Amino acid sequence: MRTLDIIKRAGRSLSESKTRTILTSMAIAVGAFTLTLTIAAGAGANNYVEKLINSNFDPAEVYVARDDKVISSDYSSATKPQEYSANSTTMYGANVYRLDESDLTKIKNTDGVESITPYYSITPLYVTRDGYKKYTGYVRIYKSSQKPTVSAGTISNGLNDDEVSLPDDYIKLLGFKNPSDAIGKTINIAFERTVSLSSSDIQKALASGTTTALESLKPYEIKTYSLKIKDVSKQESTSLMSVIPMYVSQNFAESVNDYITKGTNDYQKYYMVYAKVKNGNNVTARNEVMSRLKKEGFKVATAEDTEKTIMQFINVLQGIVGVFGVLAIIASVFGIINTQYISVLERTKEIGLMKALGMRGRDVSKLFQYEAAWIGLLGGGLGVALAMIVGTLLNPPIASMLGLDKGVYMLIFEPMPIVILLVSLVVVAILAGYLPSKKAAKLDPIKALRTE
Amino acid sequence: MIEVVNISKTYGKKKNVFLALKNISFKIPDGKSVAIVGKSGSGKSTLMHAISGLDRPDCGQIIIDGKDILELKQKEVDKFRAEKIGFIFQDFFIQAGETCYNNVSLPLEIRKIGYKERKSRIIKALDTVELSDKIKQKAGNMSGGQKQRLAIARAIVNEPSIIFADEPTGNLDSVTGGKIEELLFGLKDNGCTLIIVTHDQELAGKCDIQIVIKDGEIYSRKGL
Repeated sequence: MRTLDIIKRAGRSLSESKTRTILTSMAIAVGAFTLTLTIAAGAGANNYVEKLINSNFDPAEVYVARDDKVISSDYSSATKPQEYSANSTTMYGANVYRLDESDLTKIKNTDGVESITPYYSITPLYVTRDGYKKYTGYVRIYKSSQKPTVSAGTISNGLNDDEVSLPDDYIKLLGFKNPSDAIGKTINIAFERTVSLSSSDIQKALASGTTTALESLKPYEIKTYSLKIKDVSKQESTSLMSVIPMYVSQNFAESVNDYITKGTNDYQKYYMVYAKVKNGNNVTARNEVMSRLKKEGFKVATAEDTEKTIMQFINVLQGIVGVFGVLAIIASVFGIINTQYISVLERTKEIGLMKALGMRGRDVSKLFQYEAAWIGLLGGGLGVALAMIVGTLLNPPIASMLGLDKGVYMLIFEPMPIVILLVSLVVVAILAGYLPSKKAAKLDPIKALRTE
Repeated sequence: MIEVVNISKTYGKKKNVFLALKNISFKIPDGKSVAIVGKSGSGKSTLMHAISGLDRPDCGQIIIDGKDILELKQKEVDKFRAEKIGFIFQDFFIQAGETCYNNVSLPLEIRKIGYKERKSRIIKALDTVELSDKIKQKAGNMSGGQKQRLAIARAIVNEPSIIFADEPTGNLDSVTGGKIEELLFGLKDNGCTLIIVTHDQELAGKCDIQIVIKDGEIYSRKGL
């Protein structure tokens, strides 16, 4: 018999027992529903993480450090006391080695590196404007890969060394009427550093003989920088930082860093350097630079690695939910086997007739396997359709709950995985139909047609 | 020409052996109507199954159109049945869920006949049994007589050379049964051999040849 004719007959025979067919396929539908939502959530998470990475990191950059612990942000290796080392600093009880100026030169001169930006840990003492209160702040270097949502001014052409990008949360606090009012105005950012007292200062204070003069000797000093507001920007939902940074230029950050660390153990020591790679969006170019840096003894990573770390976590969650979907499908397999066995028993006479008319056992077997395939397709289609409806309805509330930007959804239904899912469900159903179909194929027509 | 040579068939093993057919031989010329008569359990159904290739006797030969069907492989036996044999049963064995059209279509689909030719043949067969107006009706909703006519249409649609009818009027009232008989004997006009298995003496009497089976042996034969 022709396959198409068998498929048609299988379909018609299923539509003869609609209730049973639908009930059997419901089990598959539950599995398909779960799996579709899992896949959609995975795709959504992937998309979200990618956006997250792209808006927070420059994919063309390679992170270079002296110490693995910096790259992995995992300081748990210090399970026991380590010997003190003068050229390292201590974090969470572990020695952490940093990069120095000669390392920076080496990295900068590495073939394929376009430019480098050291990571500066500069935290302002406070942020203020003449006549207003002092507020806390968080400062970061502006890079073109960062794309804050600008509400006034512009930032796309970069910042001069005396300019700052101000988060819009400060607008009211610092007494501006609205974002555009702030553009071009000046704010003050203060930094503090510890200083060693010079012997002449100490002698002068001692000579004056008063306690006040001695008390006024302070081992720290504060420096205030005045910066012009270039733009006012909002934080994106995909930002990894809970605090909105004030962006400053690299030169500014460097001079502040030098000011803060001068005379300390931290002077010209860097945890990490961002090395921008020529054609760094090209994986091969990036990998070449990375292997060169590794040869020099540096520890390296990329935004992709960060993405992988985040995705690993998501994949585990996805896997757990997926297991439930697969379990539902395994359960449905027994449902199909059972239904098909009953169907074979019910249609003993029909099978006998078909065989008497010369239908090959193989074709009889196919007839029942295609019936199972129809059940798989029906259940799969039902589950997928339901998941898509529910997902589409749930997307807006989920997005608003997570505070996602407009048009960013957590559940993304891509056609390819869904087609693959449906095909695999059909295959699973056909496999489930194997045993009953063999029973049908082996039926003896004489016994089947005997009139009792 | 159907030639049955010395066929025997036993069921069961050792002590419970039951001899269903004992050394049966006969020849049937083409285009004749044959009645195989016997009580239930006489072996007449076993004989029909053997000649139609549904069952295999333990020994002997069944030569149809010069070929011993007992020497064919299963695949070839299936092909032989699909091409040369038509079946009509007491219980009709129509597919209740399918339309008349698709019931008659089954033997053609088994033979992989193309859609267009199928259509014209089905219409012709349904026309012969006067069911043209029921073409799209579900077979399960029809009366017994209509069902048997449908079964006849299904049996003749392949233009087989032999038609087996197992108690074709057994489940029908005499008027309807009479019409079915008329249809069956009309088939002979196409040169088709008609083999009727029955215990109905009246129906048997209308056949050219009568073979009476008793306890697995030929008890008497008429017209041979």
